[in-house]
Amino acid sequence: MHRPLRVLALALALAVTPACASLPFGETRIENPIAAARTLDQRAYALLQTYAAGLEEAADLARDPSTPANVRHALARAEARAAPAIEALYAAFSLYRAGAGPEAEAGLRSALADAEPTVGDLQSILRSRR
Amino acid sequence: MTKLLLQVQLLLAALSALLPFVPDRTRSRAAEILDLAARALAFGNAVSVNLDDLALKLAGVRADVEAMAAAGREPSAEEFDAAMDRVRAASSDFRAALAEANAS
Repeated sequence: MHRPLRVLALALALAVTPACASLPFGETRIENPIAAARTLDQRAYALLQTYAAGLEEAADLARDPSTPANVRHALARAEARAAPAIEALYAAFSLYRAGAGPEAEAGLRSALADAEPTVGDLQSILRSRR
Repeated sequence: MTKLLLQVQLLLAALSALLPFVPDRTRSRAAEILDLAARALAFGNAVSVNLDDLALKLAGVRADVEAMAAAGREPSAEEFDAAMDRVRAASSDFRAALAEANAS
């Protein structure tokens, strides 16, 4: 390696070392609101709010010019999968609230089971891009 | 994390200023490497900021749900509708952001 490049490499290493030493690993703790829910209603509400928060951040990321195209595509696919599941959850919740019979409850449980993995997928993409 | 990324970005900017001292043969290659590193850092910074925002929002939602659970209270119809309105607004905004990105 030529001398100027060696000097540059050394300067880079020296400058980055203290910054790396102060790396705040694990600083950002991501909460799971769904885990705090005790009832079906609370679980459905927590899932909707969690999904909305994820989508808001996904929109900011999609708008950022430094975001690679493959990340935008992954977010778009995750949203396309989650959107119908969330609409179905809302419909099932409305039925459940109107009647609260065993069938409506089963429908809501089923809608929650369908929607949770799709919201999880979106969250995973947002987290894995760190 | 954001602070560290900013420090490394500043370092890259400082290193870019030294490019004229790099031999001609390797200058363009060094510039390409610095440019690539700068772009990767810019994306990392954007993600880090968004992840911090997401963490704050989810902590707020969790506190809300924990308070409901502790009080033995169910979300009201209005709260549920407001959550769904938030979802629909976020969804529209996300799709608009994608359309803007695809158009540019």
